[in-house]
Amino acid sequence: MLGDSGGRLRLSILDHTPVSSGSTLGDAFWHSTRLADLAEQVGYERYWVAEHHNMPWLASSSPAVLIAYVAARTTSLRVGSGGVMLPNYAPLAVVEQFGMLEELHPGRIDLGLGRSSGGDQIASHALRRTDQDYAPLLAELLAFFRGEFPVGHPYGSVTAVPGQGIMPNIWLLGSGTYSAQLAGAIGLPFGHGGHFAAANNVTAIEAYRQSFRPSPALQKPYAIVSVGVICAETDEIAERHHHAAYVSTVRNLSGTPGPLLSADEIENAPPGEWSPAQEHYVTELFSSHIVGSPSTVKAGLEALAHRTGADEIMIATIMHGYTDRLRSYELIADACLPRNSAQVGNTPAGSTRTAGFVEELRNG
Amino acid sequence: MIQEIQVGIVDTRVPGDAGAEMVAPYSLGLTCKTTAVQATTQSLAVSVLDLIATRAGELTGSAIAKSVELARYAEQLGYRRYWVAEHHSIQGLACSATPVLIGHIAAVTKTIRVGSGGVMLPNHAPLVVAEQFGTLEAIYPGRIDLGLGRAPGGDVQTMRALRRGLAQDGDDFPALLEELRTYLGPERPGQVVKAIPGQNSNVPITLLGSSGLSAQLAAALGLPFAFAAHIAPDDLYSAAQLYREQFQPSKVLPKPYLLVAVQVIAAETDAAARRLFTTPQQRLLRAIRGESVELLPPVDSMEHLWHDAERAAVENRMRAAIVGSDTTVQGGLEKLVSDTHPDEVIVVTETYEHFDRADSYRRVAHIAAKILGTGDTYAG
Repeated sequence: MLGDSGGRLRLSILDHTPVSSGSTLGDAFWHSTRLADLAEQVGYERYWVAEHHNMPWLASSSPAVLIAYVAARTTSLRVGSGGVMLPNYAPLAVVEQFGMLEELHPGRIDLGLGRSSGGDQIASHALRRTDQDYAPLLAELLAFFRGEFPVGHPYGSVTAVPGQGIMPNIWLLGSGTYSAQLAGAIGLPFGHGGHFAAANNVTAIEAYRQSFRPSPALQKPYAIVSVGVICAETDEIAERHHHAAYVSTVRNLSGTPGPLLSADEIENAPPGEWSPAQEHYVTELFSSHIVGSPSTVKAGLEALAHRTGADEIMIATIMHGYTDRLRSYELIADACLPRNSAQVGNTPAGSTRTAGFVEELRNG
Repeated sequence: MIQEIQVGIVDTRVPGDAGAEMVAPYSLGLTCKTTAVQATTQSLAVSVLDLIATRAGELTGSAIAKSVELARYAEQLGYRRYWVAEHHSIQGLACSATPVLIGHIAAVTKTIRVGSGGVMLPNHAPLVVAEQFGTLEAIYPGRIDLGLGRAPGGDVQTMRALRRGLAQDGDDFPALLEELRTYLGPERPGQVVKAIPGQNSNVPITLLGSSGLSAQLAAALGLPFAFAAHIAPDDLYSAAQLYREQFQPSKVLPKPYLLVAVQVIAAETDAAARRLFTTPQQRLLRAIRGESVELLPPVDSMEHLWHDAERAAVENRMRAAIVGSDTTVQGGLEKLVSDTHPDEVIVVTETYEHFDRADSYRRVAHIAAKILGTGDTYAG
């Protein structure tokens, strides 16, 4: 499944299903399927959905349900979670959901697992988040998939139907070195959450490689690094989108959460609530983003790959406007991915793109 | 009018999605010739409940592919809803991740309502349920039902694995339900945690049960009530009566709305239907014995399979089942209607062969069209 990239830059997509002003949640989900379609056509390696709670500008709160939707509307794309926040759920429930998805879409499902909550403290409480240690939770999940509880374990009589023996590819995700070292120790692929913790990306991936031990699932380490990106025809247009996303994010975190606003709305509307602490946080968060024209973004992605040694870069684009967002992913693909993506195995024969995907979408 | 329904090649495009391809390339070759169902708004409303039963060794994906075909067929036959159950750790029942199944079935159908029958609420955080069904409702607006139960859906160890030592049990059900309804209803002043999606989606809720207690809760809250006579018929009449007597009108429902789930098998002759019925009979017998409940082929006679006590237990638990030729099934459904006055009958049909199941649902659709129902609807 995960082999040598042969020096080629591998790109994938992390979708938070951002909600734009003036749109419904249903619109946001529909556009996620359009994005997945694009990913399949232009040769992105995989498409993952995030898990966030209580944030009106991010619609992706139920990864398994959203994956079922996206996988049903694509044919060959790898679809997964980036990630399921394991302590929010009973491991058995996660195994049943992803065992079901793997049964429905064999060989196409990734289960990326994270440790955080995807929401604030009060949302965590409402989620009945466990305070149990992560490693035992992960062990329980793997034991349900593999049907390998030790003799006498209280769950030894419990079978995940489906799930047992039907395992998607499992990834450990993290922002620091804990999950990196855990993934390395048990021979799983690792994804670093660089789109929100860029400062640690080199350290975490290095820790992963150093701790890696081969497993039946994975002979050599394989690391993804995620990064926030906005790409447009020119640097100026991309910067304008990025600034709108920045202002929207500060406002949302400062106490007036809502959908993402457009650059026009930001420039013409009166300022909303503005917390200096959030401004500081978001400024730092956004400083790691790669923003600009296709050539600017290409250079940025290549530098990131070189700096981190990651096998794959996962692109998270959180911005207003569905066609602008799709266009961002399309421009990146055009600049960075082989034009004929058949070698990736993601493009069905005979469906080579002849026109811009976003243009087709605009033209209905 | 004779029309041929080829279930495997239904156009599954989403409205507005010009040029989209079929979303799931399932075709099991199920082709049923049928006359169009001549139902009216006064006809008895019928729905489907699916436990995604599997044969021994059958992959879950294969069983779900059959369910997908059945759902498309049920949509054409005019069934109102297609519900999937929640069971855990039971080899032979592949309905554990209910919201994922609902999403999959809704993706390959167009108009039929799809929902849970039901989500076992104490197994989950209410916020998680609200987000899952809010997501489904956002994707498939006006098509999603949320049926809720309080049972574990599995054995004690499985329940512990799912509930992670939380204090949640059946006794918490009213509080969990209230929390869930907060997330699905309009945002309340000062509400800190919101279900996104879910908030103000007002996904229609139905309470499921097999006792007078659950009937009373549904009545007190002014919610629709679905009685599970397919698994526990004992209290059907008393619960139906209690529900009607104690019903309090609510914002979502001005008068009682009763759904009754029963097992039905309709076939060419009484004898043929009774033979098909030996599949669910064998399954219940094996469940009583603590054996695997995977689907077994029908047998000519159960005589050599069960002891007298087992026979009595199986027949007692299945006494609400309606099994026979079209004429017999019509009589059975008419009696059920006159005894309990349901607004809707949820038809549970399990056979070894996929075709027999589809054929039974086809027959029942035609039979129900001839029976006078209440004419009421809830959520579609």
